[in-house]
Formats: sequence, C-alpha cells, structure tokens
Amino acid sequence: MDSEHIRDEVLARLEIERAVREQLTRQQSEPSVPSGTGIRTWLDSKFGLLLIGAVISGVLVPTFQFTQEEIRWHRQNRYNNLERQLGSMRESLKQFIAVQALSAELYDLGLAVLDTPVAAADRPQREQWRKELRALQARRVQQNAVFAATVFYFPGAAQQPIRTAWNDLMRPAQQLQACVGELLGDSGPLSGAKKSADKAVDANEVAVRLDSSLAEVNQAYERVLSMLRQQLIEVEHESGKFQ
Amino acid sequence: MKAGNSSKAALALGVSILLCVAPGSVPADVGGGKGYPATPWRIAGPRNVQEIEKAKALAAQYQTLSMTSDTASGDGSDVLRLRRVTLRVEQPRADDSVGYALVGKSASGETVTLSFSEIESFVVTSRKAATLTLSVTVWPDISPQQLLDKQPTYQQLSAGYRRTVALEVSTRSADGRPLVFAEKGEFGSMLPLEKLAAGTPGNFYGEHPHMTHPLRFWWAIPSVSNDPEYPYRMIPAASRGDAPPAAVVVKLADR
Repeated sequence: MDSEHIRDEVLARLEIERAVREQLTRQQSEPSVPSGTGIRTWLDSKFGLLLIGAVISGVLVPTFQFTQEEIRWHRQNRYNNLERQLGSMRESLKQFIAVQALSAELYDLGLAVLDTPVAAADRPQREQWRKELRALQARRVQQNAVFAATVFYFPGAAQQPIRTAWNDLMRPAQQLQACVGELLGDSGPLSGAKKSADKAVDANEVAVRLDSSLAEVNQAYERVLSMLRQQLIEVEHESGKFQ
Repeated sequence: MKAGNSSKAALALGVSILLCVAPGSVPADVGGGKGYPATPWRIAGPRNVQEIEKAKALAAQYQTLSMTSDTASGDGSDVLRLRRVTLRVEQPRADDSVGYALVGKSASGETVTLSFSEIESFVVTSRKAATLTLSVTVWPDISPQQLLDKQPTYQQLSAGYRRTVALEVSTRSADGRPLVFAEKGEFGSMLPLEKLAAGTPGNFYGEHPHMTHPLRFWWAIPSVSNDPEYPYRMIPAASRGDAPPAAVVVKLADR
C-alpha cells in the first residue's frame, strides 16, 4: 500500500468523523422533536381524544352524579328518619308529663280527703272520692301503657335506662295511690274511737306519708324527665347536622 | 270610750293568739298548688324532745348533696345532685355499714361527728394524700330541746343558729378502700372524696325547694313551717311551670 493511498483513506475517515460531529452538534443544539410513537401518539390522535371524551361524559360523570345523588338521598333519608323520631320522642315526652299529671291529681285528691274534717265528710262525699280514685287508677294504667309503648322511639342504647328509671318511678307512684286509698278506707287510720291527740298523730303520719310519696314521685319524675330530655337534645343535635 | 278601746284591743289580741295557735300547717299559694310546707310535722307538732331526736336521726338519711364544680356555668347543668346521700366505701360488701355523717378530726384533734341532718354546706379548703380539710357550716345549730323551748320562726332560724367547723376527714376507710359520697338507688351517682379538689363546695340545701323530701326537715316544727317565708313546699312536679331540669353532667369526677 503506498503512502498516497493511506493519506486518502485517513482523509476520508476524517471527513466521515467531521460529518458525524456536525450532526451530533446539530442534534444537541436543536430542541428534541417528539418521537411520535406509541400511546402518546394514539392519545394525541383525534380518535383517542374522541374516545376519552366519550368515557368521561358517558361513564365518569354519570357515576359521579349517581354517587352524589346517593349520598344526598341517604342524608335526606336519615334526616327524615331523625325528624320522624324527634316527633315521636316529643310525643313520648308529652305522654310522660301526662302520667305525672295524674300523680298530681292523686295527690290533690289525697289532700282533699285530708283537709276535710272527718265529721264533714259524709258517706256520699266519701263515695264520690272513691269513685274519683277508681277513675284515676284506670286512667293511670292507660296512660302508663301509652307512655311505655313510646319508649321504643328513643335510641336503642337509652331505652333500657329509661325503662329502669320509669320502673323506679312506678314504685312511689303506687305508694301515693295506696296512701290515698288508705285515706279513703273505712278502717283507715283516721277513724275509730281514739283520743283526739292520737288521731292528730295518726293524721300527721298519713299526711307525711302522702307528702313523702309525692316527694319521691317528684324526684323519680325529674330523673326520667332529664333522661328523656337528654336524649331529645342529642337527637336534635344530630338532626341539626343535616341542615 | 276607754272600755271600748280596751275591748277592741283584747279582741284583736285574742284573734292574733287564735291565729297563732291554730292547728295544722299553713298552705301557701305557690306554683299553682296549695303548697303545704314540706315537714315531718304537717298536722301535729312534736310532743316531746324524743320525737324530734327520732326525726333528726331519720332526716340524716334523706339529705341531698349538691356538688358544683368551681367552673360552674350557673345554669344548673353541671351540678351533681346526690339524693338520699350516704358516705360509704366505693365497692361495698354486704357487711359494710353506710354512714350519714361526716366524721373527722377538729383543729384541736378531737373526733367530731356531724350528721348530714345538721350540715348546711361545706367547702374543701385543702387536700393531702389521704385526707381532706373541710370547712363545714353547721345549720341549724340548735338542739331538739332548744328547738322545742324557743319555738323559732323560719326567719329566726335561718338568720342565726349557724357555726363553722374545720374538719379533717379521711378519704379512705380504715381498711384502705376509697370513701365516696353515694346516692341511694339503682342509678346512684358516686363521688369519691379523693376527687374533690381544694375549693370544691358541697351544699345540702341546693335542691329546688319544691323537690325536697319532707322528712329532711326535722327542725321544721309548726313555728318554723308556718312562717310564710318557709320555702320548702310540696308541689307536684308536673304542675310546676319550670322548664324541665337540665341533664346531670358529672364533671367533678373528671378532675
């Protein structure tokens, strides 16, 4: 191989190398052009955009709207239930106060008997009181049943404590009724041929028993009432969250 | 003329005496009801001292203790009310006794027993590891004999007959179990003495005057209960115009 040939070959290689360098320099200085291949290209295509639009408007938006509706419906349903429950609980409270009003009537009847001198209370008068007592007893039984039936409207966890407190109220209420019955009994403590001082002591004992029964009824009533009220406040608060 | 005046005066005096000695309690027109006084002596007063002493012993079992936290809102919602309060161990056994009195040491070191029936209120003044120092207001500070002899009115009784006793009480029983103020009954709330912080007040007369038990007032003999100012009256709760009571929230126990 002569030197002329070697020189030509070196020059040719240098030329190739220069061309390659030039191309590389050009590529580095110019911003890269997207390759325009694969998913990207497909997404950029008109068909791709059409399909994506169709999915968004045909599937995602209705699903979102349906979920929103469902949440709203649940909220409305829950609110309606709470409102219904609140109405029933208020009704229950009303029935409970009506029960207590009967205890007040019983106490007043007892006072009427106690305040009337034995001599002034003739047989028809006593018979009239007994009739009133029987009527009150019947009304009390009915009213107790009406209230007891409404305890179901209170939240589950509160029902048993309310029932127990209610039963706790029944005992002094029953005592109050028994006390009035005793006052009206023919062989009651106020009758008989006792000395007037003994009679006064007996009358005092009966009066204090009547008052004590009322005090215990009052205290037990307050306890049940505060429980009912507490539950009412809690449900009202929960209902308020939906407004 | 003089004779006429003196006869009128005698008549007036006679009527006054008659009104004063008229038997039975005077009802007040309170809350729409008759409002008879709440007293164990409703129709007949005590005949002797023994009857008052018996009533006083019984009254200790019918007291109501109202505990208010020092951050009370004032609307009654944060008052813990212990009806028919007792002082007992926290988890009683069948043979454990129940107390109706504060027992402690006075400043001079002697043992003092104050029945609930003679305590008006107390304040916790300081607190140590196993003891509380209470400033107890004793009211009515009157013996059954004095009560029977003096026949005070309610106003006279409430204006005086009061003394303060500093009492150091233990927060635990002799066998080390915690002592509590406890309410009678299934719903009985409890308040351990150990939970009482310094400054906590306790009141035995903090209840609504129409919600009280008549057997509490051993001192309400006719001269007291016939006083128109006597506030404790028997009124059926449902006929009162008050708003329903606020729910009881126990805050003191959270301290």
